[in-house]
Amino acid sequence: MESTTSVSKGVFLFPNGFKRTKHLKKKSKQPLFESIFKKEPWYMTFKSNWNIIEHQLKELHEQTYSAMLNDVVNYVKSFDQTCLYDSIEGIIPSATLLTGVNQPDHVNQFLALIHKIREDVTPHVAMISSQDAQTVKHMVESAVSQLIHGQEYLDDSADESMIEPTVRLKKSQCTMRSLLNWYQSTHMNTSPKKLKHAPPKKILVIIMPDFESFNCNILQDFVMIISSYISSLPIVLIFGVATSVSALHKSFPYHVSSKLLIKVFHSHPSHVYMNQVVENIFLTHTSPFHLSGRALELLTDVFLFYDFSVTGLVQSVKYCMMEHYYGDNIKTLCCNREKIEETVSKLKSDELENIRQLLSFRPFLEVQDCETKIGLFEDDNFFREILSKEMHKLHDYLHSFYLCVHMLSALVKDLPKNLLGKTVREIYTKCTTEHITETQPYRECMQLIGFQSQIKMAESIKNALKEVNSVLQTSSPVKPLRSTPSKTNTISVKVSNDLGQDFAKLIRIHLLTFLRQIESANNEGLILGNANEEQEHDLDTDVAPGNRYKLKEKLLKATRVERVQSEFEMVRSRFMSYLGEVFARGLQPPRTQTFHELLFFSDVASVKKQIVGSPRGALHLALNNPVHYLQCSCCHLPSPESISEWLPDVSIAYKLHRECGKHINLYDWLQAFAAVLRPDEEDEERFQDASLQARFTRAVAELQFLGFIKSSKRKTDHVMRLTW
Amino acid sequence: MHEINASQLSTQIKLIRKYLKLKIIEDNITFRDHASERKHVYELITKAVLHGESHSALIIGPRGCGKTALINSVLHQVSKEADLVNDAIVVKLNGLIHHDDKVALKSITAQMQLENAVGDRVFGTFAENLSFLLSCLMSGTDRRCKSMVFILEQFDMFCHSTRTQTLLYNLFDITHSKQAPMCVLGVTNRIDVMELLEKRVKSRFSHRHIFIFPNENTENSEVKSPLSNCKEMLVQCLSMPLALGRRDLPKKRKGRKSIVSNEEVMDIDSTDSQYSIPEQILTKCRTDVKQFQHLEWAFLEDWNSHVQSLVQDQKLVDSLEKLCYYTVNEQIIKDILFQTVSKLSPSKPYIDAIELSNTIDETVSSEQRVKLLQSLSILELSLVIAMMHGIEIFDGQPMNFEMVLHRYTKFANANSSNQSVPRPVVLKAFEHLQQLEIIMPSKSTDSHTLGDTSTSRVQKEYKLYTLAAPVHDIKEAIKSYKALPTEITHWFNNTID
Amino acid sequence: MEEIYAKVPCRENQLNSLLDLLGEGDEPLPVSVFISGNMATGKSLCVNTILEHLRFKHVNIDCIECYTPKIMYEAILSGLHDDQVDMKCDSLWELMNNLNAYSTQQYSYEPIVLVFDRAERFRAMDQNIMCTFIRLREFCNLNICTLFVTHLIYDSFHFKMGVREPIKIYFPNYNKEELFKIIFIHQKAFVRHLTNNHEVDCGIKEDLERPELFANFLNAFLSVFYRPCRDLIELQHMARVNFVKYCEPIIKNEIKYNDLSKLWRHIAPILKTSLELLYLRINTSKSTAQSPAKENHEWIEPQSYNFENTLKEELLSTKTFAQSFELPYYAKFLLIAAYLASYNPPKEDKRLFMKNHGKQRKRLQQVKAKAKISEKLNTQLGPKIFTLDRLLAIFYAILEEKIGLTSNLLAQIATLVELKLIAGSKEIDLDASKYKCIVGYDFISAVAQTVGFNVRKYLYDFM
Repeated sequence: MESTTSVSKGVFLFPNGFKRTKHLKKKSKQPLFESIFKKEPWYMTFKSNWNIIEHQLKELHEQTYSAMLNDVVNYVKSFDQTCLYDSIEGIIPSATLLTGVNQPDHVNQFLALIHKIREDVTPHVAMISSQDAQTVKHMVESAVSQLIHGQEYLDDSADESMIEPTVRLKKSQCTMRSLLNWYQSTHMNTSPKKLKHAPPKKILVIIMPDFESFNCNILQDFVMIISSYISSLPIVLIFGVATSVSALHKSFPYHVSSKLLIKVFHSHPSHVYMNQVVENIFLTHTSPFHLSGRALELLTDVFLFYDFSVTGLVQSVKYCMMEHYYGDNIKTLCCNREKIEETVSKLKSDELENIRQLLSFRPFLEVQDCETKIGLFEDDNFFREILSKEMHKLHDYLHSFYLCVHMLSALVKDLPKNLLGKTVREIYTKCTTEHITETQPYRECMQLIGFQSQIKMAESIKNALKEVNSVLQTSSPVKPLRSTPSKTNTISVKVSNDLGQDFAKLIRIHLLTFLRQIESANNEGLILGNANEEQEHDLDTDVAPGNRYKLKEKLLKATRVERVQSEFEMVRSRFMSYLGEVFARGLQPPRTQTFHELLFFSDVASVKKQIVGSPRGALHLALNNPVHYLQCSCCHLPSPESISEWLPDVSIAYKLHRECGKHINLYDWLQAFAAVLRPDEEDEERFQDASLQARFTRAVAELQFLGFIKSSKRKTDHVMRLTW
Repeated sequence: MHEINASQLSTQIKLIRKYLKLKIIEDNITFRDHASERKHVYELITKAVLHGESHSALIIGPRGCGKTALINSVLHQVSKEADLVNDAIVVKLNGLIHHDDKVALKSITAQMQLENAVGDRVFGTFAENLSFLLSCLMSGTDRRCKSMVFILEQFDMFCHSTRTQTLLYNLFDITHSKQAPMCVLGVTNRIDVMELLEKRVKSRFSHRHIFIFPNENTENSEVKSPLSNCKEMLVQCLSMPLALGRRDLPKKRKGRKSIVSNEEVMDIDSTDSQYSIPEQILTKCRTDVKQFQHLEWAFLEDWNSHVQSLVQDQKLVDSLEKLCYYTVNEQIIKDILFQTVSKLSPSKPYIDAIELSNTIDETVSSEQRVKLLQSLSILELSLVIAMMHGIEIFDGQPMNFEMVLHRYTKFANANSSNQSVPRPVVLKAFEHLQQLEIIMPSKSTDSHTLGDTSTSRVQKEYKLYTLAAPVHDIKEAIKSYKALPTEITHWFNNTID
Repeated sequence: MEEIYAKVPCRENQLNSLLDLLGEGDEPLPVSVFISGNMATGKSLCVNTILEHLRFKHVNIDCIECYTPKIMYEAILSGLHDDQVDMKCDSLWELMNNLNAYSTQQYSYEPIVLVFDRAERFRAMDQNIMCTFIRLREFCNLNICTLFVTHLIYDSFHFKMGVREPIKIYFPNYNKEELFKIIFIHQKAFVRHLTNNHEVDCGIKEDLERPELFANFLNAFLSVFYRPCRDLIELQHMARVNFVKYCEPIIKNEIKYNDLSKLWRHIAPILKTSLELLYLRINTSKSTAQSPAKENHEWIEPQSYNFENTLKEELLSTKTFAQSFELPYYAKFLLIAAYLASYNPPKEDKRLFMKNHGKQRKRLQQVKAKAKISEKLNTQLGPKIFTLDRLLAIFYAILEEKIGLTSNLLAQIATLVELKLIAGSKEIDLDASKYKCIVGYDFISAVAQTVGFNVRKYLYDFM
């Protein structure tokens, strides 16, 4: 209750707001929309999906940073023993983490580091950010207090003998001397308990995550102070440098830098990390939610052009998801394929109706015969059935699509001039936006692959295989799609029945064979034998639908006898043609698929405003055409340029001032203003009523506040225009 | 001189050394010359103490001319004649420490032993507090207050405190009121101290100035030469009192103790106890005279004659003269003597005139800056030269690193013999110069006040610096720089290249 | 006596004068001594060894950490009282009281020495403090002496009148021979450091341990390094790094340890290159080798090797430094714009960034002339401040494609400020605040290259 009262005091003025505070408090526990939409199915799916993604993100984050963190931690550990610097005293071991330029991303990185150090090396870690290092005093105090009291925050498992000597020191008492005393009292005495619990020397770690924003003079003093204590206190410094090592040398004169033993650790450049995130999390068939090429492009552009912020990217993806799901339940279908049936069964008829309205439903409809159409429209259950089937198809499609994308990227990755782009995301955007197999760059790439030498070829195939395997093993043990009730109604859709898992398997097998052939191809004549029996033992491993290729190979093998010399070319050409077919089938853009709207988020325009906000643009729009925001009937304008008296004063003044030059005569301005408001009256009686002038002055004041004009000293009763 | 064996000698020397050190450092009582001023101060204090009159005076004189010594000696004398402890209270304040009024008041209370009386009661104003303190002093029988002697050293510091001069005001005010007899003596070395006083303070101050100028002897009012004065002091400080050397020391000491109280002051010229350290100093230093009783009369005589001969030494006299031109500060002279005395050891039992004059030269003209410049590496030195040239060209306007580097590289390219160093190294060298304050940032005078963000925003390449070392010092340094490449001297000499 | 000389080599005179001054036993100490001398000339070392030797009670105070005088006072008091009592003391007056109280407890006339290291920091504090400490003896009845150790000379402590002058002792730099001697003392350490990190068979090990080898190396080393650097610490560091290189051929059995000319020919170029790393303290894998944990060092090795070069590059040429860290595309252009804004006079903007700049011919001569007579080019005078509007205007002028002024763009400016690439007043309203670009020319030109932009074309100085 105490807490609630305190909250109520904060929030409410009237005393009887008590019971209200309670449910307000309940709400304030969980975010607002959650409390509202908790019941909504679409929200639940969104929530579950987002949780999945978040989880994946976390894992990825862990494994990307773990390498560097380990390096650092081990480096720090290495000073755990009494470190000897023969003949050079007072040198502080220090690690320098070169993190990318975008600092907000690094927060959790450093938190992870601290956590790791506390686990592995020492409980005494202090993290000083530039905010609490305004003066040397503050810096030392915060560092010392964190070091001394650190292990109490850390965990309760810290033994009592540590706790009871450290009576809470006041900030002002936290000097280096007190630290020294504390350290000697805690660690120098060698009670057996302590010995078994901790090594006699525990090093002290001080982390400065944002090196650049420190005041370098303060930092220098700090370093000097520590260096004077280093003989008695094993301190290790860790700097987080965003730009580069020479930032250190920029801010340290040599009498300071000579006190440091600098060791540099590089973390991934952020765009690599971004690619990883995008490729491993969003561009997989496992992720339930898919971005259309345009959307992805937008996000990545924001990333590359504006801020190298991965968190920013993830957040905007989340925003897209919200936008995608928000408010309509048919999006509940956008879930992983186990849930499809039940969600479909849950759908109400009006929602089904919405689905029927979807554009991509039309082409599907065309190809059906009439009673199917009728069935689709009349019979909800039948429609449900079809729907679920289609959804499964869609998922299969996705599976193969991503597979192909990855394969393609693996193949074209190391082509001379990257026509399709290097990274998966670039290729993905291309594939989603158009029929890539028709495009010119694609063909050229294929040609280039065609000209590849033997080894290179083998290499690229290996890469492709890697992709395929990874996809195969990642793909959840999903039930083969034959089990979907397609057999029931004969008049069902013409299922392009070689997509999905089997498709992948198939590809794998073929790639394997090609690989073998190509590798064995070079030793010319004497290959035939083993090549043959390879093929034989291929045959039995082979599954049915691959037959045509087998046949083709057989034929070609028959012909090989006379044209031995060009055997590698033949294999290669076959490989190429095969690739051609695969991609042709795999890489159809999503919009050709039925119901793709359900899974793909393509509404870029609506999101763009929010993701790349443009304050001045918005301001201009608001003033120039208030309807856009006010949504009121009164001030509709024939054209955004025109002025009506119904507009708010500010926007009138704004529109008027846009017509003026650099200097605006207030008097004329006022006249124009009045003329707009009172078109019918004569000038003199306009000036009779003070209300006009009052309104005008207020409008002008507001404009000045918004930074459009400023009063100029040069000319009397003129104001200067600031924007153009 | 007659011979003594080594062990004896060493003990003798050690004792002498210690005794002389004691005398030079600790003796702040014995006071020479300025008889009239001394008399004046003596009268003031005695009036206050004995007849309960109130006075205020300023003792003004250059640094190290023995103002404090004067007061000490007077107090010492007075303490012998009347018992200061019972019917007077001496409160000493120092501007360095007590310039804050609250602190001053606290310490006044402490020196009057009234902490318990004050306890933890709070006072509205400073005046209330002070008057309360005084009222505490009213001894029960006759409502007459103990007379007080306030001695304010570093008087100017009391005025400097940006706050109002409440302490001074109240003190002087009381000297006018009949509340309590007190004598306020300000001691300062600033002639212009009066300008620092507030009007109200000035009006209450009885404009009694006691100027003490060194080297003037007032009983026969002809100025005596600083040199002779200096000599006198040297002898005074270095020679030993024969009194210590008496064979029959123990029993004689008894008698001496009995008479010491009055003898000490009146018959200065009694040959044996001359040059001796006053008793109370020794007690203050917790050293017992007895430990000196092993000194031998003959040896002491020997020593004194040696000192006398020292003064006759011509070279020494010259250097003493130089010293007198340089300073009249007795503290400095004492320091010099201290150094020479501390050099005494069994191996060299006598003061070497040469050494002494060397020490004097050292103090008179210590060319530390030149030495500092010589300690620079050649790179740094050439940077300094480059800067000097630059400043000569753009008559004395500050330069930044870029300009200096520009000049330096021009020079370096001109003659290929010195190997070129990359820019960052030069920058570091430049920083080193700034560390040593051979160059100073032109905006703020102190290098360590650069902490403020405004200056730290500027790239250090573009921070403007001025040369702190004067040109002639650089000349000196260059002249006597060991193994300096010729091209650099050449470069230094022809200015505009 | 001798062990002191051994401990503090080549400082006999200073040691003697200090010893004389401090005297022995309960002789009175001088009031205050001022010890000055360049960095790394063994000032503190001398003082501490002597005090240890004489067993005087002394307190060492490092003035840097005394950001408030309180710390200093309490340090002094807790130093005097042997039993660890932390007493409050935050004004000179209280310090005096405590000292006097302490003196009353004393029975003997025991000498006490206060050592203030880095005394130059006193000037940051209230001036009374140092004045008081210089004449501390007069205020408290103790046989106490204050030693001030600093790298500044007495004159640069601009004291007011009425300060008691301390006795001054000056520590000159070590000359070449002394440096040789001192570094040579650590010969064992060097060899150990070498043999720890390289596996050498015993035969060669003996060769390495020969002093004459090291002596030869030192001669060669000093002949190169003595000129630009006199700092003992730095020299030791460089010597450590280079000695390893010097011995590598011996370890590999390519050169015999006594083949001096060969060795010299081998080391000379190395020394020359490492001369360029003077003062820079680039952590080569050698100095990681100082960390005792071998296995750790093992796997750090490759990493540090391939970064070593890049680091060196970075520090030597800002060019590679500029390419070494990535910026967002627009951020780069913003940075360039900022540079142009701060190195071009505003009145030139129109001519520089508009398509039709008018009478340029005449200007050119003027500029040329100006450039000739003075070295006061903008690129030498440093950046001027500019407003946000100007920055944006230039930004849009040099940027080919048209993009909206988005919030992310504005955020980038803040980021650049955070990264200390642009110095700006961190005010709330961006419009009012002024900025200044704080990166060098070659840096910016390197950045510009990455986006294919020619800075030189737009710089007023180079017209």
